[in-house]
Amino acid sequence: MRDKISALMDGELDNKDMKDTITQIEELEELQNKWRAYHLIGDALREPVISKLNVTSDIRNTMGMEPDVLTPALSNKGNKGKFFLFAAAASIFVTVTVVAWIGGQTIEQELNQVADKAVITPVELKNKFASTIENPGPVLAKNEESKDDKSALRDSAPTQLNDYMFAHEELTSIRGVSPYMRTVASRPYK
Amino acid sequence: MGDREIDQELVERAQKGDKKAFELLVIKYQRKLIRLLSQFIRDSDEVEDVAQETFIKAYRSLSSFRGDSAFYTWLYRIGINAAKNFLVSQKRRVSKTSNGFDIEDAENYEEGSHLRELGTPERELISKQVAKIIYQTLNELPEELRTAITLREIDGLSYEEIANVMGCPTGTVRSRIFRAREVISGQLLSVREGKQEKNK
Repeated sequence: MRDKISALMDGELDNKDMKDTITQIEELEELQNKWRAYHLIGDALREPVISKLNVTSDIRNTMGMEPDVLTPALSNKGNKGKFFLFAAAASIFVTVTVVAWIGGQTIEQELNQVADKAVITPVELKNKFASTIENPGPVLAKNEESKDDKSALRDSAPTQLNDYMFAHEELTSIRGVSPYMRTVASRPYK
Repeated sequence: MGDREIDQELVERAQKGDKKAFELLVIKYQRKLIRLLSQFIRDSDEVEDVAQETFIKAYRSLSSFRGDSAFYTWLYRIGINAAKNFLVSQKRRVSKTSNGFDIEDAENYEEGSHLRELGTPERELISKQVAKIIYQTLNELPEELRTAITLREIDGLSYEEIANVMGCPTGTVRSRIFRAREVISGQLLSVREGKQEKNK
């Protein structure tokens, strides 16, 4: 074992032998003394003047009162960090996807409902806005000057519908631009 | 497996609460650190205090050591800061010799022969005695052992390089260096024990 300490100091042991030798040194006082003596010899040969100061025992006493350092292994820590980063990114992605899908489904359903309500046959329109046609408002009066009843009906129906929907927007189940989108999309009446 | 890997292994063990591993690092680097600090601080007791403080600070902040630099480079930085703080607290100016130091060069730091001797007269005497025993024993070693350990410790050659120089297998180099160390450490031990006998 002592020759392994000598080789360890010179960095000439493989990884397994290095770990085993260090463990043995830690366990046996005799081997610690060898570690100490070999380092002293090396220092003395390299340096013309060596210090006899020895702080080891003082530090050992002080360290006895110190709490253990206990640091997680570096490699494990790195992997954990990567895992948490991946997990966070994945959870955000899944959350956004689910919310977008649910939102899309709801909006589509509501748009379909609005569309169903908005699809009115010309006869129904005529009946519904008969009073308006018979007694047109100021805006319709302008159109009436240049168009006949049928064209007035075609032009005014969507406009009226738009006005109606915007005026009652707060009572509808959906807000924002969706009703507008649908009513604009209903322009083929022109 | 180089020096840096060995230090890293010891640091990782210490980071897991293995205080013995940190002690091995202290044994390995204490003289080097003391020589460094002695460039800033003259009194040997104060050098010893600052060296202790440096190691304790290093131990406390070991969790922040990630191995980006060599352990000694990191320790060197802590030591320099501890020495400067000490001098500030003592209201002394940092010696001009400190201007030439560069943290980047810490790993290649050579103490040099110009350094003044350390410590009290008593300590200097012990230090000189130890050095004398080591050099004396080295000179008495068989040629092949002396060459092997000199090439390793002073010239810093690897076993393979020494094997090329000496024209022998690396296993033989390993054995020769070990035997040289054993003879010298045995001599140190016997002198120490002889002194203890005299003191009784």
